[in-house]
Amino acid sequence: MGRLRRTAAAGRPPDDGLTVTIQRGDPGARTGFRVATFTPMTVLDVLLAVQREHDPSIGFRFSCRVGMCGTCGVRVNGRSVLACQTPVPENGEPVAIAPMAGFPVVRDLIVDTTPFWDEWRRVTPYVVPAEDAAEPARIAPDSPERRAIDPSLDCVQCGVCFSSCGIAGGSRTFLGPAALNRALVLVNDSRDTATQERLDLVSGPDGVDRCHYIYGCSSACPKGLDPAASIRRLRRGR
Amino acid sequence: MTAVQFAFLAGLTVVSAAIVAFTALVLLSARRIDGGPHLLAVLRARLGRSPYDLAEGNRWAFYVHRITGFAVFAFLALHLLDVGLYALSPALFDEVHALYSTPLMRVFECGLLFALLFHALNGLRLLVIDLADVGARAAGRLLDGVGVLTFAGTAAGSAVILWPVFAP
Amino acid sequence: MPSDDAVHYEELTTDVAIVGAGGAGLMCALHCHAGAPGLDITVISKGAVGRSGCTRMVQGGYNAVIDPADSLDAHLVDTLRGGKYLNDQRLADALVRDAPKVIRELETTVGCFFDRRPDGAIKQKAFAGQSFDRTVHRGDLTGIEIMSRLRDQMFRIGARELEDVRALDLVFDAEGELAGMTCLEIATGRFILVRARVVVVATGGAATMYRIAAPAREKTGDGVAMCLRAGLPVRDMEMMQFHPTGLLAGASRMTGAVLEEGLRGAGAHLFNARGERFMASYDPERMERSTRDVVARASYTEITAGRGTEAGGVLIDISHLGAEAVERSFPGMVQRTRQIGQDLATGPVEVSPTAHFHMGGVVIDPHCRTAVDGLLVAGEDAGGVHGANRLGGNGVAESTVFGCRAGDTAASMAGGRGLRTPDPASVAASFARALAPLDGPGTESPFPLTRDLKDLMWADCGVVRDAKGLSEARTALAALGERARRLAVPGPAVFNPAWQEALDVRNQLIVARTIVESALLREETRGAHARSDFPDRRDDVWLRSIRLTSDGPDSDPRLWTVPVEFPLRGPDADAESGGAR
Repeated sequence: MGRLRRTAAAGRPPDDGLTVTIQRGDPGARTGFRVATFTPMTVLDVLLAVQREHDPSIGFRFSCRVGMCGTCGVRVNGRSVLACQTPVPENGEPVAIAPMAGFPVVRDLIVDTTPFWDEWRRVTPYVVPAEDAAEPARIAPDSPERRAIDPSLDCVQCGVCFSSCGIAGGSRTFLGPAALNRALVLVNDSRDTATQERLDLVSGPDGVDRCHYIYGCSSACPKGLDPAASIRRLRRGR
Repeated sequence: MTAVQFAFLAGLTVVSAAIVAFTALVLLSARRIDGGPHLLAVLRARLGRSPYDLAEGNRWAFYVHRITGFAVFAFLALHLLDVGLYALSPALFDEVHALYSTPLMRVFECGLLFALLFHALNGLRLLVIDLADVGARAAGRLLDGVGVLTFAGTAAGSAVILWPVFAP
Repeated sequence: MPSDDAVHYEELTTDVAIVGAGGAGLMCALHCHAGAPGLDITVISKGAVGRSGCTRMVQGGYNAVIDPADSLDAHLVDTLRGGKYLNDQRLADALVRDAPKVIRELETTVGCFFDRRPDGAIKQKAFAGQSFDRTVHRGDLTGIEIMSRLRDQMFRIGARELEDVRALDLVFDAEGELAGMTCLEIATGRFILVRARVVVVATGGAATMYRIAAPAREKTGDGVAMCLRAGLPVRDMEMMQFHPTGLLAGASRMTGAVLEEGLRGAGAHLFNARGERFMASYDPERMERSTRDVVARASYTEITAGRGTEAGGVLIDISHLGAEAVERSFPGMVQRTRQIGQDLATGPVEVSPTAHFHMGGVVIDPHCRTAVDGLLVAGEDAGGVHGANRLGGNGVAESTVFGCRAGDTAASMAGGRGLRTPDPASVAASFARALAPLDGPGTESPFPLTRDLKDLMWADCGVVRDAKGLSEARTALAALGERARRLAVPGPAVFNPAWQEALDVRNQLIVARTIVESALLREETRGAHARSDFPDRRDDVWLRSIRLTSDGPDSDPRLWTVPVEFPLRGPDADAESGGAR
């Protein structure tokens, strides 16, 4: 792998190169780059190539590189994605990378996701168990409870849905897709005892009624979850 | 031009300016909140069917719904005043309403028709989405329907409205 | 940048400072809070709290004895056999005994929900190297469930979180008592001195120093390097586990990401490029369900013998179970392979051994205490639990079990330890050392240095080693160390990944050296440590653990060996010794 990268860096600009534009925070910082492509190549690979071959000072964040940590959220050609889960276009179209919308920018592509976590925190995201729960509950995998919960698990709290929602990133508070999805899981979880508090919150002024049916969350979720459906179900269920 | 006609046109100018300003406000704040409107991205998504652009249509519907809502409201506010003139003086009313048959006003009315149709039909679509919980994909298809109906309605209505301008 | 003696820093005082926010760190915070609710707890994480590190990346699951048909003894024997009897048996016993308790805690109080059997009880699936199907899981992305729920618990207990803060060095007072540590806030570039009664180190291992490696970016051996710099002894550093099924994705960063062990547990076959199920000639009895060390070495042997694929891998194939069944049981893995243009559900996928887990680490006792009073180590930073090879599913068990234990110990220890005043000179020296590469006079960029280290370790201290390669690695590491002294990075102090990479590679170099030195000393093949010049396991000489300590970053490490104790079970009691090839 190192060999591939080195030839590409040393040689003349290859025909299958990719033009990348990166939104930078520092005035005067270089924004246009051309990197050699390989297959498979993700946007994260593009960022790493830019960092290693062109500009080591570029700021971006990543950790696990396989879609589990949820820290490499950026905007690619206008829309929020996880960089590690987004393949570069095969037709050589230029790629524009910008920080995720809806969050304050810290530096270059790094954003401060505090607004997301503030909302997440509000739904009491942890289970509030009954006092006497000592043994794991016996819950059949095909029970209605699990059928309601299972499709909504595996959220990685990357904030991509928050950033793709037309409402959550705005100035008025809205719990947002991820927090509401979490609320739905806990509302359905028979081990939890804080159901009513959560239902009161989600049916309140910052809850499900602020959803405007844009479906940005569901179409952007890198884990294939459907927070919009969770919001609908919370509406029906309350 | 009479004084009342001048007042009406001044009011109309204010209304138009307000609509333009509101549109700019919606699109600019959208840029901050969710990345903003990407007309090209929408087209690319429609043509290339890239999966993460599934919601682009809905996103545009959301913006346009807001803008048309405001536009209809702003115009109706003015329209209430000019209709109210009848109670004051039918002559003044006639003076103002003579303006409505000028070509410029007719074009404006076509825009108004579009706004009304889209806002109403999209409102019905949102009702369906909410009640039937149809999901993102079907919501997109319903939006296609809203688009077709809106454009058909606007085209037919515009033909009627603009007919006197082009008719001999 | 200000000159060395003018480094400004802020001071923060806390009762318990936990470095690392993975499974061990957060479990520790939770138990520390439960044990003594009044304590001021600070969690320091180089990345995002609860989201960086490797517990999050756990796919397969968690080994725990919860079925009445299973027994703690069987789990212990599996762990010791898997570890080729190099384990500290008291630690392995603590792991086995506590794992069921911690699983219950994760379910009932932390709020994880693991997969269920049709009758509603917790389901356990098959993993390699185990006598009983005892791996608890949530789909094939178990780590997300565990870490997300632990992260949520942090909101409940309200621990202070220093996110994007890198711990630099442990600092001591004038009498040599632990006083806290120096830190660098990555997001702002500002230095922080954390004074604490108890420090818990739980940062995770250093496997990222290999060209093909599985872990998250953060895992650069920071904790172990920090402890080494403070003079603590480490053990079994030569034991670096290679997972047999790492994804091969060309030049993409995804290369090395693990395809989970459950695939082999569920009956996946491994083929070489000629289409032979090569495990038949390495472990005909257990075939692909053999332990990781055996399978990884077999794959590596096939690849180096020219029987691998063009890209340098072998093929894993589970499609004979039916595409639908594979997609249902391993959705995450299927998606991962599709992303690179292959498909686990319908055909074979190219895999290679990938550096995965460091069994070696700081010497601890079952309560996570170390040679330094007030310093606890838990998780992958600690050594001894897994011996020479870790069983799949014992990793997240270790981090959570010993995280809990560290938390319990910290809670009872914090009351009895006063706050110490760190020696100002060493604090200043630590900050100056960290600041040196930033806009420094050197010429060395950290990225080529990291790449060269990865290539070196992969080639000369990888799956199979020999004296010649290891000696060369020793020389080459010294040269890399020389280059590391000339590191320089441009740009602002704020969120500067290049600067962070420079600090990472320094730590990696410290740990790499201990691995190479220990590997040179152990002249046998045991578990993850394979020597082509000493291909046999030599129980007569080498039932010994290699210890290592160094007096300073630049001084030569001192090595000695300690015989393994067998308080619970001797290697002779084991008819089938899981022999090393």
